[in-house]
Amino acid sequence: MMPAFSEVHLAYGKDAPRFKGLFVHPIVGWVTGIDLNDLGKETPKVFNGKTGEVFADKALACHVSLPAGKTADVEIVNIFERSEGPDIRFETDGFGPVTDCWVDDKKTNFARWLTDNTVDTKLPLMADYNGALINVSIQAVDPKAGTVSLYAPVFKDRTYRLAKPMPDYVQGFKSVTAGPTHDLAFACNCTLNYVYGKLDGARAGLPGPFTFGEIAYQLLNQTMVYLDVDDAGVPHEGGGTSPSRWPRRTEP
Amino acid sequence: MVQELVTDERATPKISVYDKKTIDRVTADAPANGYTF
Repeated sequence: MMPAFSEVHLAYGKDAPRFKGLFVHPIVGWVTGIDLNDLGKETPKVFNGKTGEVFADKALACHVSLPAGKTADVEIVNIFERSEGPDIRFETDGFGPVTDCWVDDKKTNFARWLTDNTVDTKLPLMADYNGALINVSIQAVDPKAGTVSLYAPVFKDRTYRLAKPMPDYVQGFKSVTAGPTHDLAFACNCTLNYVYGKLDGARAGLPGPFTFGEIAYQLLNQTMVYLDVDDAGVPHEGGGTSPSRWPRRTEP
Repeated sequence: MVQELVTDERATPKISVYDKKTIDRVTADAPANGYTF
């Protein structure tokens, strides 16, 4: 767990895909937040329940061994689909503020392009990671400054597209979460899905907290993730995609 | 919400603290068979 907007959050979001052995070990978690009414007044924190320590600038991780014969699987559930285009590419890695980008090979100011095209910024940018679609949520657009802030980093070697419109988030989750038939070790979902999808009181997705960002190996947005612990060798059931089954990129 | 971790009873879960300079160690600290939460 890591506090939203902290330096360790930004470092993990930007650098985790290059960590040695990232996709070998199941890593799941979330970005901690605050009451949305306290934005600007409070800072997110993490709490070590063993020691009582409180951190606003550090991440906490619990490393858990499993007995022989058991295996852990981290799954990503994404209700969004990629639109038909245009293709969007960025000049640098990071959360922004983003200024320029390339839209179908034409360089433009990203904020201006979003504004001029009246893009629904509740829809995430989506990149294809060897078959798994990863979302990057838009935090804020400042047309005057010509900048766009993001809730997760974009990477210059990836091609993004906006997501297709999502008219009904509840139905969206029902259609992609066949779901395991047994209890899961852990699941969490993005608070943007909760807010944009009006999920208050709805039964959508899997039981768990709504968070300021999800971690399934790397940092994610507008996504549900879950951890399943099962007998080794048992085929996985459920509606997610696991980065552990993605084709490997060459790691440093 | 309280969730009981699935663990190997012979190996106590280890809690680690990371900052922006040490967060890349999270994979090295991960167990050979298990998960990091």
